Amino acid sequence: MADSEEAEQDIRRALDVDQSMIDIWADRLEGLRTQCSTSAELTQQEIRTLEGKLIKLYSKQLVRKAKLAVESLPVEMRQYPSLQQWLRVVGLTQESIQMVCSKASSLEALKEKSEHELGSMLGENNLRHEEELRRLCRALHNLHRYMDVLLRGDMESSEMALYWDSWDRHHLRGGPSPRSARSRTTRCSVPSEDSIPYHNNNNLNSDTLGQASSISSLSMTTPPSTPLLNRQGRNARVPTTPPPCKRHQTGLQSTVTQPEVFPLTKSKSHESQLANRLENGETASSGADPTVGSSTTRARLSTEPGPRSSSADITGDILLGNSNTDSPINSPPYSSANSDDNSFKATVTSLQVPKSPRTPTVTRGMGHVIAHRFTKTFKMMTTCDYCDKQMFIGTGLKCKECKYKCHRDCESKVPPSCGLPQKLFDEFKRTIQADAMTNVSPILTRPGITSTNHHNAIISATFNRKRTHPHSSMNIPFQGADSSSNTSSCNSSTPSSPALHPANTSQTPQAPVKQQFNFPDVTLNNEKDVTLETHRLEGTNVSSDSERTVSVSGSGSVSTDSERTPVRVDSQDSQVSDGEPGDSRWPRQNSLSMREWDIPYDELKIGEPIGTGRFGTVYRGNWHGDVAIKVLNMDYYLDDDKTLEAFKLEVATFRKTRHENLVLFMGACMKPPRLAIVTSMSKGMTLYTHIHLRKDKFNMNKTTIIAQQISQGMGYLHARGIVHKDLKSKNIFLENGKVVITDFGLFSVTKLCYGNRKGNGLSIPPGWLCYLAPEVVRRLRPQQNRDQEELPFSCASDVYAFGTVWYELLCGEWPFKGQPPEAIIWQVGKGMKQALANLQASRDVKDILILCWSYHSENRPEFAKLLMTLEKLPRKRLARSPSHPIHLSRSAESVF
Amino acid sequence: MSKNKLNLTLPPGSIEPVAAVSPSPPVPPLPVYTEPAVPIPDGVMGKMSIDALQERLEELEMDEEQRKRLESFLGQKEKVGELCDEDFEKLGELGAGNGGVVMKVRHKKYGLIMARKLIHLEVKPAIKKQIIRELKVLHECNFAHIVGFYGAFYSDGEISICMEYMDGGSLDLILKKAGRIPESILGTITAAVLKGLSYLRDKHAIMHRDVKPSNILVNSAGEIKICDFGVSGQLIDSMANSFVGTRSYMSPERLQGTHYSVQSDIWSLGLSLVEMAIGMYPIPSPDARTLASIFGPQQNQSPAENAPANNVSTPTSQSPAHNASSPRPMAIFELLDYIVNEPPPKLPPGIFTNSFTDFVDRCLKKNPAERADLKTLMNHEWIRKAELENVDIAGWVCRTMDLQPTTPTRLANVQS
Repeated sequence: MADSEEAEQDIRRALDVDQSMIDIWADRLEGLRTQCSTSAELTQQEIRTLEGKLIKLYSKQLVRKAKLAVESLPVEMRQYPSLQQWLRVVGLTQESIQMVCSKASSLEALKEKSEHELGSMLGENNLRHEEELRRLCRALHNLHRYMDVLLRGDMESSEMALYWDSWDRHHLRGGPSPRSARSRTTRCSVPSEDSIPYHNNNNLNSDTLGQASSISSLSMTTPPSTPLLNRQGRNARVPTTPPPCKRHQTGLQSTVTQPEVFPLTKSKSHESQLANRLENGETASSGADPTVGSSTTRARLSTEPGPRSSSADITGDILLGNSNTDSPINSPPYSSANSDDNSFKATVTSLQVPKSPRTPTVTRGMGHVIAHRFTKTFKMMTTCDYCDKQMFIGTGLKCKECKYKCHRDCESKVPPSCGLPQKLFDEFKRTIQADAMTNVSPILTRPGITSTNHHNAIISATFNRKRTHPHSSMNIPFQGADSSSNTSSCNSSTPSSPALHPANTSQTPQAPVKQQFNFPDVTLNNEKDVTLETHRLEGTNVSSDSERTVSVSGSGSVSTDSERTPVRVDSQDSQVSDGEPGDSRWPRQNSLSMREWDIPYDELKIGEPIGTGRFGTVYRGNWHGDVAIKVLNMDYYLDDDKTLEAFKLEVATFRKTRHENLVLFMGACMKPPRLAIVTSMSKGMTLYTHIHLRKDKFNMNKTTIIAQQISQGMGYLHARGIVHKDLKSKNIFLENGKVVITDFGLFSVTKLCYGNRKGNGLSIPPGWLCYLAPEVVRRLRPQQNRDQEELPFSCASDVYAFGTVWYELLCGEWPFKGQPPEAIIWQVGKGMKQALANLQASRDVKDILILCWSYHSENRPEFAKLLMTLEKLPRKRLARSPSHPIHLSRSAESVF
Repeated sequence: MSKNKLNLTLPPGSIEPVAAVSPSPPVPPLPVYTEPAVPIPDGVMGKMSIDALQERLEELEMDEEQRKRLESFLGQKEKVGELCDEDFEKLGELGAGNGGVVMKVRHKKYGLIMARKLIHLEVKPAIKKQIIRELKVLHECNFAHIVGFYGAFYSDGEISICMEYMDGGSLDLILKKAGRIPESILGTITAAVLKGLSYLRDKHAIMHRDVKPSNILVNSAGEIKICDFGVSGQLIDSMANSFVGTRSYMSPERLQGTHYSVQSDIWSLGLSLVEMAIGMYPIPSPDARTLASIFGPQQNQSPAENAPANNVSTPTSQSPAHNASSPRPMAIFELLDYIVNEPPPKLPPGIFTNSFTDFVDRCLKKNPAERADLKTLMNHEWIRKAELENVDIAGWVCRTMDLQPTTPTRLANVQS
């Protein structure tokens, strides 16, 4: 009795604490919205953070309150949480608040209302109706989500996106907001899956960006010295990394403040691209023309720091400055993919950096993205190339490659301009500086410069037909020093050959992504209106689809081959990848999304089982030839649409993988309850079988070749933005000396199966722990239930796993052999490594282990780098194989 | 004294010979047991003469009653002979443990009730045979405080280990029901566990390696036995998955990958004792409030010798919500790091006798060299007291688990 009394007392106290926290945060939020410039990235980020915090607080309060009988509460507590305060927090106007308060008595009541009911509560004729409704719905939705989490008693997922973007946007006020646009926005802003980090962003543009960013971040190599990169971390999922999109968005808004416009743009972008393609080579499309006027206007509006003039010198016709507004949106990557020469050119026109993940720089930015490799060795006194102020001994950094010098403090602001010709660079600098005056965050808004003969030619050629819009990207044919890297396996261009330079932001020189084309905002801008029309005809749904497409395809295109390997990314696809998994409100999207690469289950001939694994059973089968079919165990997730969606989405990206060292992903059945993944069948045995069962010994030469091939395959995978998450010798096949990596990205599906274990305990397959990077190991929990935060896998964690495979190849056993799982967890989590004292191998060979096993993920080399290191190891030359897809057959063992 | 106080040696060929290439210094040599240090007469139980066994039983420190029980067990076992899958009828599931489920089964022919642990293994025949062979060591482990072993066999992808059925179940189950276990009961249990561990060490040169409440079994006859000690290195290696749960009883030195020995079992025992005494897994250490909710506010100061701890009578009042899980779920690493780096858990002051508190403190020294060894502990005041006390375990088990007492020998007299 006393106990429960005391417990109640506790709850009451906690309620009070919650309330006072809510008061504080709510005030703060209010202040941010009203007193700060909401267009600033920082502010927006702050707002989002606060929104998240408030959601958590409200959820806790509601959950706590629900535990107590109302009667037992003191009067003042019965009204916790105050509905009025909640509505203020949501960001409704005073009159709306009153309206809602008159129709609902408490937050508890309010949250049970449907969207429709909420809509009518707000009053239809309100100008701000849609935005308010959006905010309210999202905030409530988030509240529900988080309460669910609390009620389920899960660990709180730090990655849950709980914000709803309650700052005011420019055109909201008094702007004629076409309904369609609005609703679209709303939709997009539906919080995306937590499990899929890059979907976290609510805005369309952020969506696009986010995706791109996550991908690029995955694939990118972070040179240790590049602060920018470091700041963002390699993995978009790392909780501490604010979703890149935000930054981006802010950048946009800092100049334009019309975020709502984006959705429009975006939706069009798709269409506009199509239009481009059609009209390719023809003169001004009818679509383009009408837009010109409007887009120009917009451009003017947005251009603050007059980048035009500066850029004009160099780029001629190309206008700078505006592009940042749209750039994120537009880069319809698929256009690049599809484009034949013509279309390609057309797109090139606006060659722009679309979505750079992490790159604020991108926004207005440079197409050129080669990060400097700063070192501190810089001793003399000189001036900072960035801020032009004097630098004293020891305070500066200098790029090893291009000798760029700057303060350490400036380092983060320096664009990834490594290797730019001096002249360009000066120009660039000028604009930067001009910018810096006007902008809060110079990086974000820095105008790029477009140059390059090649480029210019194209541009000017196209210019007439397409109104090129001012865009700021600086496209320079320049390959980073390391550019030969990764993608090597797929034929890469020679490092020295001038190529269009990737817009993609802060890629480090080694990043495979370098060679992308960014698609211009221009196109988008031009055709905005036109597309809009189209969409209207088709209804909102369509438009939203197209938006999705854009973003998705964006992500897909990040990888290098977009230009080379024509990959058809169509809207279905894009949807898949984009599909906000948790959102059951748009069932249509799901069904759509699967269309393209779905294999009807009936078409599969399933043969005998050849293995079982964590998530199901693998069968030999036939589907237009021999295949391996992984049938997923479905009992566990039938009720879990969210995870299922997330999984589908991940699988969608596999479709675009074509690499000699990767298993051929053929398709999937994704209609519950039938879930299966179809890949080609692997012949040969896994490395695991060779090493652990047959105890085969590979000589150093062979070992190195295997490791190289693994690095190639993994480098490619990372370039495509896919994190393997389960790289281990069991997932690596050896077919006549050729490495074939399987099961990439499937790890998440195991999450779906966690439910099947009785009792609590984390089930640990043999050897698995050895592949887990410290940051992953530290997050293992006894109950890995599905709604829980995902483990922080990243490209870097794949590299760690590679280190372990390297060790296996060398030693024939797993590190930490014979130790119980707990001991491995503690030791790895603490940063302890398998001692190498007894390993008879050269220094270089051990260095690879040590690097891959670095405790800090940012110290682990990228696969591109590893490949180079491996190539330097003494041995016979490995004949490079062509990168085009080869027909491979795989055996089933691979599957698990 | 060196860490290997007990002079445990690694039998050649235990587990897998570590390849010379393997750079594995931090890997502790698996203290292994594949081959018992004591020579085994014949591999197979059935052939061993009862007489020979009896002779060996003489050497062991067991009282008359224990000896009789053991003899009758061995008699039954001889009768039953070799086992196979068809012999059994499933009666129910007793629990799911590390790597497998435990079923309650009946031997159809003899009507004998057994516990059958099934471990799913997909391994080559050679490995299977090796495992079965290694498990045969269990035939030699006949002692009052070791769960009896009927035999092991392989069928249909699963290794079956058939053991004596203990109707009281494991202490973790009892703990769940009882809330906590009274100190006097714990004393008797500890004495039994210590004897069991000594037996394994002295007679078979093996260490348990997995001491925890769920591996200590009791029955309605008041017997206390340990089970699940690692006998087959190959089995451990072959097990498909291992589980890591919310609790770990592993000693700091083992977690750190350094050399470990039987001292490691003592840590585990100490931790188990604290858990059973306070009714919750003691890591991270419960705060004062939690303790107050368990023991009432009186606990704080004045370590009163012979505090209220001695009432065996009632299965301790169940304090709400404290037994199931520790207050906040931790990541596994967080928990393990706590074990390694935070001060060791101890009993809350003022509730238990000083001798018990001291006993636990000696078990829970983070440095294995400072930790008391088996012999010291068996001579500890708390254990000696417990052995004199003649506590009615059978009555307690039956009351707690709602069982009918099976042996009339000692009826619950302590309470009534």
